[in-house]
Amino acid sequence: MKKEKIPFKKSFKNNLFILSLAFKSDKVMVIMRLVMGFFTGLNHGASVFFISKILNALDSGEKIEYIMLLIGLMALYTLAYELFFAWYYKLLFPTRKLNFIRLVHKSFFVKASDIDLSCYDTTDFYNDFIYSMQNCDKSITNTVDQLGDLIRSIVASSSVFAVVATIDIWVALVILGASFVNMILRLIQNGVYYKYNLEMNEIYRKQWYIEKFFSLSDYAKEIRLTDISKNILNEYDRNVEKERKEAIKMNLKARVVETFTTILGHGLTIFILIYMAYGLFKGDGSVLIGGFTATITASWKLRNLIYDIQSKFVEMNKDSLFADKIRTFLETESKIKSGEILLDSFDSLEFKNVSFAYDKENVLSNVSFKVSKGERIAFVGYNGAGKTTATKLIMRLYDVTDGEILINNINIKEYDLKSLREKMGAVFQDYQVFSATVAENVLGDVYTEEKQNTVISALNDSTFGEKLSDLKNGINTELTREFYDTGTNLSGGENQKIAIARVFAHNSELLIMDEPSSALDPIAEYNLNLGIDKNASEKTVIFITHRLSTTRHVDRIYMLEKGRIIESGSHDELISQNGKYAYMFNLQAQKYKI
Amino acid sequence: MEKKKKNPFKLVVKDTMLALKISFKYAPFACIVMLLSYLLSSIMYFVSGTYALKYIIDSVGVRDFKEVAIQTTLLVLIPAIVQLIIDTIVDFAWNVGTIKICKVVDKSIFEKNISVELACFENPEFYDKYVKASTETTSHIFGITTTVFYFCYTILNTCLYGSILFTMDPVFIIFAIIPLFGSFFKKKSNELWHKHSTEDKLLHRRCKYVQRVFYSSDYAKEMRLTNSKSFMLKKYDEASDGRMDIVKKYGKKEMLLDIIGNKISSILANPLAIAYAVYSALVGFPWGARLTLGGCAVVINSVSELSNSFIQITNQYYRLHEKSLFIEDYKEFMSYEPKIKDNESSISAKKGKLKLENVSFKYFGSDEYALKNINIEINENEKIALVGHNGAGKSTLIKLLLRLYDTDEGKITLDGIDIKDVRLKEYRDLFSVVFQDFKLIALPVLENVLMRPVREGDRERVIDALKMSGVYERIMELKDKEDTLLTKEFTKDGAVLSVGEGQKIAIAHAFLKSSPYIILDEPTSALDPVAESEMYSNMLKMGKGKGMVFISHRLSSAVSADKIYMMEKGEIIESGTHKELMELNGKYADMFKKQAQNYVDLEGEVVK
Repeated sequence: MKKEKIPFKKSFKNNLFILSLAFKSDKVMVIMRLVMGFFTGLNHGASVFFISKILNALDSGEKIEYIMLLIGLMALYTLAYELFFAWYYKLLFPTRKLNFIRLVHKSFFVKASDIDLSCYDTTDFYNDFIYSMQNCDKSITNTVDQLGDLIRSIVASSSVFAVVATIDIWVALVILGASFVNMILRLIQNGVYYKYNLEMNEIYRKQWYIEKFFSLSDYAKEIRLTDISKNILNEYDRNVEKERKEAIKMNLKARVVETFTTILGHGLTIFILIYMAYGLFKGDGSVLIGGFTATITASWKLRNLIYDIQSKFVEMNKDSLFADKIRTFLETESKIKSGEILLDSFDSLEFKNVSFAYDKENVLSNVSFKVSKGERIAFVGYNGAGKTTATKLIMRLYDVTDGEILINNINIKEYDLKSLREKMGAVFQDYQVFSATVAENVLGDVYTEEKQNTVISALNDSTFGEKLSDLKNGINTELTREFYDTGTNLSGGENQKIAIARVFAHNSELLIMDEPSSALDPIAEYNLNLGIDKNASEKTVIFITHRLSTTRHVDRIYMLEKGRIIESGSHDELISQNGKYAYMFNLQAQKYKI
Repeated sequence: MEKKKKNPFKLVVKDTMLALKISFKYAPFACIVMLLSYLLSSIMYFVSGTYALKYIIDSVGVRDFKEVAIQTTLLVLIPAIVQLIIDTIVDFAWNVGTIKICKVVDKSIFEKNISVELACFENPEFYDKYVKASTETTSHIFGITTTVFYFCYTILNTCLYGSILFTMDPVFIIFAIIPLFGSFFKKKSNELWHKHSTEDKLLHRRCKYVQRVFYSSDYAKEMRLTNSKSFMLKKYDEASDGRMDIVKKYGKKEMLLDIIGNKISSILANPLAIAYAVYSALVGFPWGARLTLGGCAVVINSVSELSNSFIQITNQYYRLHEKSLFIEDYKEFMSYEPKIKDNESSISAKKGKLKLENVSFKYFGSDEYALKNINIEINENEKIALVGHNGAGKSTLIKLLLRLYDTDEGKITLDGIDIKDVRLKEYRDLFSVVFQDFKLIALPVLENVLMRPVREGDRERVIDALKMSGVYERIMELKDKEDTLLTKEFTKDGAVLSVGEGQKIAIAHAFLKSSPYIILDEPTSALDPVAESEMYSNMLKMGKGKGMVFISHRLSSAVSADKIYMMEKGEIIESGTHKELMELNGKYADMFKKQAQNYVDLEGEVVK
């Protein structure tokens, strides 16, 4: 892990970025929070002010009525202040904040569904992306809170300082000087904490992984059947040892600074006590009890406030790390840009010398083929031959590195992205079912009554019909238990059928089926093939499959190896060619020979 | 939370004691210095903020300035020096101490986890407790420990301020106690908050789910190709509106309780106390001595400290109460008695004939039988194939065979001995298993194949196994070869293998372990036909002289088995050799033909 140092400037900029984001989302909420910070700060000054006023009045022998009036004023002020705050924090702020979070989330959702799929492949980006999505609300409100609190601490220390200055300007100056030195020491300490936090990130990540390892059911079987837990426990021990060393190192450095600030603080207390006592003892009225008490209280307050300000800076530094992630995410420009031509109907698809690389190595090299309306083709080949990648290029989930893809003889980059994808339906190898009703899952859109028939016939074609009749609420059954405890959990095969129905329900003209029957048993697979025949008789279909039995009836088969098409033709042609396809097919077929 | 029968106060005390016991046991020195540091800071604050103040003001005109100056300096300096020393020690001792406590607690949880049976993972209530225990226990133990220290600090504060005020005029204690009446509302406000957050929790969970759909790579493709965004956003809006309504519903009450519970002292009690002190200093009450000016300053300064201390005490109690609930979860988790374990009479395991006799089984919380009345015999070197539809119970059967679950009815025997009487570890060591849902671990390739700590001479064996499973070349291409760290959990340089390659690693483990029985649960689902075919022939080679059980959707692999069991809805509906089952012309034959028809023409000959 590289430990790039984020200097203050960058930290400041990052925080500013988040603030402007917050400001754009909800101005009122941000301003409200900052104004609140200001008033809370002022309250510190006010309390010192009242103390000195009351005690001075007492010392200089003012009338009791006057003093009682002062006390009454103080009580009134406190009452107003506390009522206002209770209202603000319990009623106004929570609703406003929820609304704020909603606005932030939605803008993030929109952004998230727009970024290129290739971003998901970069682990670094993906981690940051997940972080941004998970924590955008917390992170942004936190930054606003930090700023509000910072304003509070600054206003508080200035107002306290102002009160002291009216009592004795020299004491005020000494306090100011000491605070200044204190502040510098604290900033040095910040650097130590900052570095420590960076080190710890790595350690915590490992700790989380180990906790996950034991608590998730993913590894539960292996843990019980093998001794792998010993390996992980060894890792754990190593990690703890590292944590211990880092902690000691950090403490050593931080302690030095801490010692200085403590000495400074106590020194200041003693100085003020004795200096003010001297004034009192002189008895010339230059120092009254009120002033004396107020300065002591004030010096304590200031010490705590400076500590507060420091911790805010530490927090802001930490926030900056996170802000950086959010910033990277929001500033990511989608490379896959929509064109302008609307695609009305699908006539042909052509790959012209297409090459593609996720990273450096080509996953597809120089692939060319053509499919016309109504044809069925199949991609076959070994694992990692590039079959799935080819279909992702057609959907423009990625753009080609080299060469071009044409639809109706026009480069797909020229088409309006939405209209292009609307013409395509895909069942992915790693199909997903959403926590929503069956109907919503099939439609991939909001469900309305008039779409009922579409949904039901699509489900029947994907051989889900039998299961559907078992479901109490039919197509309005909620899937998964994320939202409702009464939701239905389907099996892997059933989920796959839902995913297939999704394709049938759309009036797509080009179907892409990536191992559509991998989770189905042979009989279900057989029925599904019938369903596909029925539903997609006039559509263009691209199959990807390991099971060569599916490929017998397609118009053309493309055998891929290491990103290249090595054989193509109909099943019979390829068999008579007696090449790799024939080898593969016979390998599978011979076991069925009786 | 439902079982609120126990006296909550007793519970808090008990759980607090438990947390303290753990802290003091594993880091006694750290705890003691930490406590000292808390107490000293209370004294420090009192002396320099209040006591010195009173001393100086009261000394005006009574004592000599020089004497006062020296006294004051000593008064502040002595505790300050002690505090500095203690704090320096604390910085090191506490940090190292907490790390040690974490380690002990974490390990106890991990070990417990290893010992509980798999069924616990399916019990959501237990699982929830476990996850909470494993991720939060340590922080709550520290939380309780420091809260207790803070509690001591508060008590000391109360005593110091209480005694100085009491010596001046006992009436001040009354003012300090007034805010305590607010504490009665505290309970109510806590209950309200609890209700609020319970109602909010479900809605919050829904918002989180929508969030996950938007960022998880699992959904990324579907989100881009369909308009699922629309209903997901709708769901988010609904949940969000719901949360808003809850805030509005509870907000007003919460506000009132907050004012009564927390603000009484600053609004009412403090001004009254100050007014009383001023009156007492200027006019005097018949029952009390007149306050000095210094006394008055102290009152103004410290009456709020005292009332705050009182409020803090109740607050800290509620904090302990909150945390004790987590400790309860931890305790419950730790006291769980694993059902699948050895007993004293367990005997050692030897290779022998495995027999399932009338075995039935239900998963936790399910009414339906996952397996019903299963009878299977596995001889020492037999190859058994389990076939059937999705959800027919094949994987469950294997889990029972491995004693990851115990049967509900019937029994499994090894050489005639019930496996419940055999030593668990030795019994499980009889098997090498490749699971369907195999997952790579963030450790080097070497350890992923071994699945145990590395010993001498392992390297060569791992390499042989990798060669057998056909992934050797791929591993040699990696940066550190067999020492390459897998997954990117810890380092950017970690290798990410494909599902098929992962499966080969898992199979390599089975090759290497070379136990008397091999179990393969769809071990080749992600492999292409050539790799699959090679794998099967290698596995058969490896399985020579061993017992083997395999599950596969692709019936072609079942043909060579000594016996095939066809399962449906948890029952065995057909069994026999491939030939026998084809002659039977039942479900197996139907399934086989459907799969074969595209490969084989009607006469049963391979398409040329």
